[in-house]
Amino acid sequence: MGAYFIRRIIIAIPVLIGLTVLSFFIISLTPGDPLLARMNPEALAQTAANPELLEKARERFGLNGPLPVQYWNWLTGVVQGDLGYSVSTRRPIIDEIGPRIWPSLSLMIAASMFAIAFGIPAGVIAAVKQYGRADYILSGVTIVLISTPSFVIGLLAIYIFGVNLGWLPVGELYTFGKEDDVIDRISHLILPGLVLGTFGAALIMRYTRASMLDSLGSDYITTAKSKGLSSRIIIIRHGLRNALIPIITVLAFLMPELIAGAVVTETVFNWPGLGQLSVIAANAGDPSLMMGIILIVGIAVIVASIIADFGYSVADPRIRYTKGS
Amino acid sequence: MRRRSIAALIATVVMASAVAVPAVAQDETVLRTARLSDGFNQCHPVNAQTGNQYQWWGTIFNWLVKVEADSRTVVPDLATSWATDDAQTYTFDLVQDASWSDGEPFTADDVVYSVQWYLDNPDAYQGFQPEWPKVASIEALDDYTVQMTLDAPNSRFLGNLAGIANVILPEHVLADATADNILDLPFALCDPDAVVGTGPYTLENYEPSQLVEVVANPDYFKGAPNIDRIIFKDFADPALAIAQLESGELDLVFRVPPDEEARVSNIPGLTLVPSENPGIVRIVVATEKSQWSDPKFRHAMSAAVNRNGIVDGLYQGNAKVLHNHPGFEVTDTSLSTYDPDKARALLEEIGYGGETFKILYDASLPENQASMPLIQSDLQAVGIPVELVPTPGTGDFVDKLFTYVDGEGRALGDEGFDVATATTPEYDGFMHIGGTEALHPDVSNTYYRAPNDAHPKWLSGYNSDAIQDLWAAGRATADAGEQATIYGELGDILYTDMPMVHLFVPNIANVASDCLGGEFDIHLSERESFMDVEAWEWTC
Repeated sequence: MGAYFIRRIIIAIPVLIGLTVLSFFIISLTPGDPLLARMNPEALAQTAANPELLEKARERFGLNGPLPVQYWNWLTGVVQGDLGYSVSTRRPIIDEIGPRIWPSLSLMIAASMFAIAFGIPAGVIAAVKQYGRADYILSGVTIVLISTPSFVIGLLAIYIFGVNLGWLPVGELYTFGKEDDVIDRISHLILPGLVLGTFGAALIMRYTRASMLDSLGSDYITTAKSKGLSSRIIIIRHGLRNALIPIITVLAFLMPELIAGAVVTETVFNWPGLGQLSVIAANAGDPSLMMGIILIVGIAVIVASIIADFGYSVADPRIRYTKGS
Repeated sequence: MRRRSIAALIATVVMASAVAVPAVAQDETVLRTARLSDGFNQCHPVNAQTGNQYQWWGTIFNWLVKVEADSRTVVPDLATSWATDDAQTYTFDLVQDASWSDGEPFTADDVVYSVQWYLDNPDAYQGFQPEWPKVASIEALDDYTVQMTLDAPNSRFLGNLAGIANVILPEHVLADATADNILDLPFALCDPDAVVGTGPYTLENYEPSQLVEVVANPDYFKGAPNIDRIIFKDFADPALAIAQLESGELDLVFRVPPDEEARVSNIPGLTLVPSENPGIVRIVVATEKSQWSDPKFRHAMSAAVNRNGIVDGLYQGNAKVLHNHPGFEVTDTSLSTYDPDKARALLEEIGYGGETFKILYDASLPENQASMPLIQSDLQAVGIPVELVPTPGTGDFVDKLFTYVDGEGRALGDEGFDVATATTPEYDGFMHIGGTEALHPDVSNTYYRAPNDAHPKWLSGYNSDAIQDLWAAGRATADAGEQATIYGELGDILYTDMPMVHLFVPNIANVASDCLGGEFDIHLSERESFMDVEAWEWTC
């Protein structure tokens, strides 16, 4: 078992390299000079036409030379813990990315918790009450949630709960002056967490329902009923437990969905995470910053899939990873 | 039992959080502001690139002089007075009771350092340029007197000293800075423990692309500010800033999007504060291309565009029609008054062959998004086929802007590129937006001045000794009458030759809480508005 996970980690390295190579060359195709992208028209007029100045800046930011050389320099820097400098802000990339990891992580954790807390019970209820009123209502809600873009849900949530009702704060990480207030931080997390989690909740609900229906139709459920077990034990201990394995798969794939969704959610709520930073980097045409974000996100997705593998073995004791797996 | 323990733990955490001491005293006044334009970047003028920096640097740094709300009238700052007989040698008397926020006294050595560091490291500056390149020599006559001698007389020097890149820096903190390490220094990276200024506020917190927090400096040499704390917020999406205005989480917002003006003006407790835009929206024509080299072609373009229609239709009158560079007085607008028949007659007169005119523009800018189709339609109505060349963002726009092709067809950046023969850009014209030319006629020189000998022609490819001599003459004299004559003649040349077809400029909408009082005012160049922030008051 341990050897399996060590192998997974080792295999992740060439996967990451492949991801960064592909990303690097795609980003290099982006039109525009990142050194000049954010300059004010006056600043541009004063400095941008100086070829020598631009050449020195390109050298500093590793933007000169052939692409393979640029990539190699970047990679060797990463191995030494140096992600380079952001072209648009001139700051070390590690300083740009570092403070944003926890906000993104906390948002994704909150979104995942909401997705699971809503999706699994809703899916169980829909399956148990198949073709009943509850099933139709929950299915309708999930279709709406899947179909509605997250920025629409986000803006509606802001204006209903933040502006009009005043129940929750309007965006950002905390209220100024309450940086250490846990309740304030949680209150700021609620809306973006709910918005980011809606797609995942709807997805989990659909898969849970389908998986539960499959599970509840199994022979061992019939056996459990014939033994006189209560409905609660049958549904939770026997039905849901066995329905969890495909749901864990969904949860594992939820991570990339959350990361993608976080780009929009963090922008709408001005949430200072990696998603917002990726928008800033894309708008600025900042290749070095985008590469740093891609690397961090790639690592996160790989870690999530390894955690999901571990979750399988917990959910189903029959699953053990051996030398051949 | 286990569940009760968990519940007790949660309750303890909640109660502890509820009584957590806030970072701010309950009676502290806090101003929360945002400028819905660019971002923050760094804390050293080598990287002065944005108007947002200009705003919050105005709270922690000082200049030798600053400007009043008209963005033109020069008033003392670190220099209490100045003298010059020839607009070439300037002697500044400095304030004697100013100190840096770490307690070190401010002296003439700091001014000498700030200027000399630039002169020793000019290539380190990557954004707005300071005035220091004009300084031939600088000397501290004593601890509180500095004398600068310029390489040529320049009456604009004093006014330009209020530019962002001219902030005075602490020698005792930055003495070891070099061009190679400047961007890595904690000062440049806005480490609150390292950033030291003489301003009314000190840097308390800096979160890149999120917020800047400054707190009042009780030892400020002009008197402690009235507002205790200012938070500058950065928004990737203006919609959230508007929502925070409505919910009361923002007090002052600069550059509200035009389509939000009507809504924010109805929010109780807030006042819409429009300000004139000192910039421009214009078509810069590549005049070195033979088919566009005749000024009458540009006159035809100018007469073809219905500026008033755009101002009234797109901006509901919240924009200003431009006929020439905004810093110049315009007495005769006959060449640019909307007259399609006149435009057609001019085109026929010059034998225009119907060549397509390619206009490059940055499609991410709101000023371009709605107006470009209208401009295209107006030009095509008089017989000028127009191909719009939008770019998705500023980076791509700038890249195309600099795609000059030399005599051998090589582009800027290509090996062997011969800048001496580089006169043919890909575009025929491009949309130019922004700037602050309304502040003074000399500002327009930026867009005609060769940045270096390698680029004798800039933007429009139009230049001449005559206009450069007039600009130089305008700078060489401080006499208002002489300047009026010089700039009058210069304005006439620029209008007659019209290398740039000026169109309009939208007004800037700003929103302020009714609680802001004292000497609160928004400058003509709104990014300078925090220059006198110590005199603002929070009246609620």
